[in-house]
Amino acid sequence: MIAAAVYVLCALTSLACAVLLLRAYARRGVRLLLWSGLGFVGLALGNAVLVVDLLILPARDLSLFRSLPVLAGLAVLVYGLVWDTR
Amino acid sequence: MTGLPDDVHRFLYQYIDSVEQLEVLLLTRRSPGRSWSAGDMARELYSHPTAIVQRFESLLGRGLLRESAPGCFQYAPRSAELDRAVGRVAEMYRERRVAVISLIASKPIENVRAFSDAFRIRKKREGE
Amino acid sequence: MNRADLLLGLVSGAILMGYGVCALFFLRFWRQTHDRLFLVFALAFGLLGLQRLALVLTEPVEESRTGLYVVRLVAFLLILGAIVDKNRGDHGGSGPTSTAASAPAP
Repeated sequence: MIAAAVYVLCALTSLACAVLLLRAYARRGVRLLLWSGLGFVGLALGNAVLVVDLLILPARDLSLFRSLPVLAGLAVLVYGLVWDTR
Repeated sequence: MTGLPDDVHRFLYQYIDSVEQLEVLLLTRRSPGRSWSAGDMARELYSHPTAIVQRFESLLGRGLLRESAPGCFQYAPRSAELDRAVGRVAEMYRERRVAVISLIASKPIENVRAFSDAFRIRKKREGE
Repeated sequence: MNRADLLLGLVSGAILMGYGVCALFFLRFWRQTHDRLFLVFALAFGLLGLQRLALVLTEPVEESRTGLYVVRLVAFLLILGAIVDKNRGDHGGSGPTSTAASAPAP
């Protein structure tokens, strides 16, 4: 199914962003990178939940539940952008 | 770039947001036993007590000070390693003051650059 | 409208705003640094926000059946492209990146 493949790709892309940002945080200790890295973890989880929703639990509607990781991720990302780029 | 040692660079990135905050930290460190009120510190640095209270609180939250009595703060880094780092920063602030101040002032844009540089997969030289 | 729908609307609105705010930040970073990566990130986050809006307007159909996942795909391909662009030709690279704080040399 194309949609599932797209979600997998999106999840992997977000995960790659998260890994790169957190790796750089570990090296340089720039807090913005921690918040952004965690934000991308949220986006990755959001996409992963979409895959699960589509392939494994097609009967259950997880639309609210699957939005929460994305919301949390964006909240953390915005927090970092607001506080650490002044 | 600034030529500051890595550990100093790292500490400034992680813990320090303004020159005043650094001054507050270094002053508490110079007299480790002393408890400072915002008023004392403000007189010493020609600043406002309300600004100093904010500096105290952020340093407290980062594990560099402790509140020895209500409204009074004392140098108390949460690890020996952190104490050493502050010592190195103090040294650099004496010897290369302009470099330290420039780094603190350019921190926001440096953070933004660090975000972009994080997406370089192959490691670049780190001391940059 | 039941409670779950209301909550979903609330969360979708917050997500839409989150994407929008991030997109604006990335746009500002692009203007400050002229680093292409930020422009692409701004576009991607803007697209994701618009996708979310479109999704709410077409609810309750599943995203996978609306074709809107194509927008999501484009957004993430943009991000992937930005990363590739960043790593292409490591010598020089894309745009001004690494650090140039103006401290005088000792």
